[in-house]
Amino acid sequence: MKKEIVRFENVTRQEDGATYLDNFSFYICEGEILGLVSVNDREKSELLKLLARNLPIDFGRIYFEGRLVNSYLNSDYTVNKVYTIDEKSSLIQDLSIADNIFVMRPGFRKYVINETVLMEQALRVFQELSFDINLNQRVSRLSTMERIIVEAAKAYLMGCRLLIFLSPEKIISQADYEKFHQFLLKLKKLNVASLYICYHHWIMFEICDRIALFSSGRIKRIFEKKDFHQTAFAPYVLSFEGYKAYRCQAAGDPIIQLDNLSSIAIQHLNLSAGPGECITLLDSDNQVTDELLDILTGLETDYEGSILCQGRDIRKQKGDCLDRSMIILDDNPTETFLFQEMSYLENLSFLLDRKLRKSILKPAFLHSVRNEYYREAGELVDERHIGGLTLREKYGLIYNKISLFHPKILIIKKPFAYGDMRCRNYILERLKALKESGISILLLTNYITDCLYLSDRIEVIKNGQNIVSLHPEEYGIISRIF
Amino acid sequence: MSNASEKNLSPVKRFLSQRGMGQVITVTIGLAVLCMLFGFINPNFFTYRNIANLLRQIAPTLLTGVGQSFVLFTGNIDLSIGSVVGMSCMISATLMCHGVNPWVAVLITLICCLVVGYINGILVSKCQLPPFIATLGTMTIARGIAQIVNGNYNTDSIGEAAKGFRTFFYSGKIAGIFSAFWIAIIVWAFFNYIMGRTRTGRHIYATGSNIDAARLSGVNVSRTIIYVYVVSAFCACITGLITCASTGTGTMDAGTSYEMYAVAASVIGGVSTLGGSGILLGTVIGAAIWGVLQNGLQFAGAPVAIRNIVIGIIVVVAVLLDVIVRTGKGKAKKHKAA
Repeated sequence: MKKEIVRFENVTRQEDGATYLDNFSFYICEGEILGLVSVNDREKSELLKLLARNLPIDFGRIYFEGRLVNSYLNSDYTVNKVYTIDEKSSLIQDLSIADNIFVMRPGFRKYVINETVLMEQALRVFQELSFDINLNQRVSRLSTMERIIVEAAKAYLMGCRLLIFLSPEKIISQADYEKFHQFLLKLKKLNVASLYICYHHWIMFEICDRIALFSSGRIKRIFEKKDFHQTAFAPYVLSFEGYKAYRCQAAGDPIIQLDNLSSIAIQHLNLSAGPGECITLLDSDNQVTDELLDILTGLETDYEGSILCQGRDIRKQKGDCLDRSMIILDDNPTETFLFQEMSYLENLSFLLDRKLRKSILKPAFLHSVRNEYYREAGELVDERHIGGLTLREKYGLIYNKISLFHPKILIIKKPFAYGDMRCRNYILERLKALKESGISILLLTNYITDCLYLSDRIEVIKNGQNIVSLHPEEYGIISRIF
Repeated sequence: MSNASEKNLSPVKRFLSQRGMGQVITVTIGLAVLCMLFGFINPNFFTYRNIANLLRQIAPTLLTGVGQSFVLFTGNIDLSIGSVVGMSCMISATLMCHGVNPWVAVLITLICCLVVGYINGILVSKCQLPPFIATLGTMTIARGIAQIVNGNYNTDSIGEAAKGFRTFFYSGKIAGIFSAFWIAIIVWAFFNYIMGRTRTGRHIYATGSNIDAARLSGVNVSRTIIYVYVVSAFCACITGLITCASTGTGTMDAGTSYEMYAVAASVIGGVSTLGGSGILLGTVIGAAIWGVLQNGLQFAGAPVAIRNIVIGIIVVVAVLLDVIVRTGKGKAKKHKAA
């Protein structure tokens, strides 16, 4: 029988009057790959905090490698040997791999560093993980996949027997997924347990041993391998299948058109989207998204080919995105699109004066905006600081702002990257409404998830160029492309 | 490159593949070009006498540059360096004028200066004050101490009793080169070893590169920041002692603007003001460029104002290049990461 790494027994955790874990029980064994689908983002964050550190709990017990480390009677704030790998690197960019995995860890005692010895030891670790890499190179030069493996190696060396992979689909390109799964299997052989947290259960089907559905503070159900199919999950998760029904029927001149666009990573990229059309750019090897956004926002001007916005070349146009009636959202718009210290209404109407080409917006006009969005946002519209809003409410503000500005083109990088299941549902609804109102939507993603339900066409990009263009009836073949 | 081929790198290739070496090579070429240019303008530039003086001139910039580089590696800045130089100069000179044994005076001065460095470190790391504000405050305080220590007067000559002190810190020669330069080189070599070969060095780079990741990796970030400020104060103290030995008196305005010279030497040498990158070898070259420019422009008969303008432009261009190179690398990295 396999040894248990972590066991939560009837754990309840409350904070500020809200219950985040409610009689929560689960366990992970060594060498197991456990998937976790969380319906609520905040509950997931609390679980991660409790896994990493023995914070006070209101009820229950937590065991780590068979030892009681936390209970409602005694929580000593100690740190557990758990390592979380997520979007943000925990490595030191300007140091070498060997330095990062040996010197940059608690317990490294030697003062003078012998690089030869360090290199030999690092070599052994990577041989154990069957991974060949130049150990002397700086971490800043690693690809995302390599960075994940180096972090896992560091965790392994630190004695962590539980690795948490937090939404890997956000950072790993579709083309690298196979390699990532192979690596998880290698860790499994070394008896390292993995907790694979992802909002898309079907991504976990091919790699996880079990999948736990986490909702309302407890594990609703554990799915065994035999239950790994959509019908088993359907009663528990929000279904977006209905969205497939809406497809753009409108025809007309393209609102945005990329003609033979080439830059550093982009090679002869062609794309066009008409009014009300939603195109997904599947950047399968994660090469072009950032560069394309830099070009569209005007940060990068060194490119060949042309980008036409409503028939006009953006290179020849003065002004910025707003002047081109274009809104660009980053993957985490709650951080990059909103101003936390401003009020809801200030955020909503920020730059509206420029959009309307007026130097000052009259209070009466702002009042009418407030009244219009009161119907959508309720009392929130009078909120003085948006810092305290929930994720869903912040997304609400973002999409209200977009609807108020009503751009011709909306470009979104990984639209569902930061939303929990409920948020994703909400984002889909709002995007659908924007699409129906005639806005051209361009979604840039490295992994096809919920974009499927919205897209009229998927342009698959590899090595910087279009390799295939898929229409809805062909979406089933995406996985076979890689 | 595979692991095996990595292990077989020759020592020269290994040396050249060090982090920040590219920038050092670039500025070294720049230094060579400057030397040739000034040698061409005035052949006396290459005389033994001028070179010995030039090296002695470089010593204070190199020393303060090493201290400032340490602080810059962590992504902070130390504006109090110049005032600590003045404080060191005044405290040591005052003590010697009052008949204290020069070596005891050196020890007392060192302790006073290290306390200033420690306070800087505490203010920045524990009290979380912005380094610019914290060291601006201690800059004023240290200059005040320099003024108050001898009742708001410069000191008299430190006298014959301190001859050994002056020889040790300034006028003595080893292998035909003044001791001030040797002291600077020894201090540089010691701290270069700390940066390149020890755990502390890695912790300093880590703190400047990504403070959160460093903290999560078990680095005692507060201790590291205090350490760099103490090193900076130590270097400023030695510079103050050299200044005292060179003039033979304590002057209250000694070290004025040295913090800026130190930033210039570091930045020209490729140390990033954003922290986490650069090497101390670059600071040597940066200090040398600074010294050569001062010396060469003087030889060329350029007025002080022109010298300042030229050097200011070079500092701005160096920082601009750093930003351009970083941005370019960022793009290349993104491409590679994909």
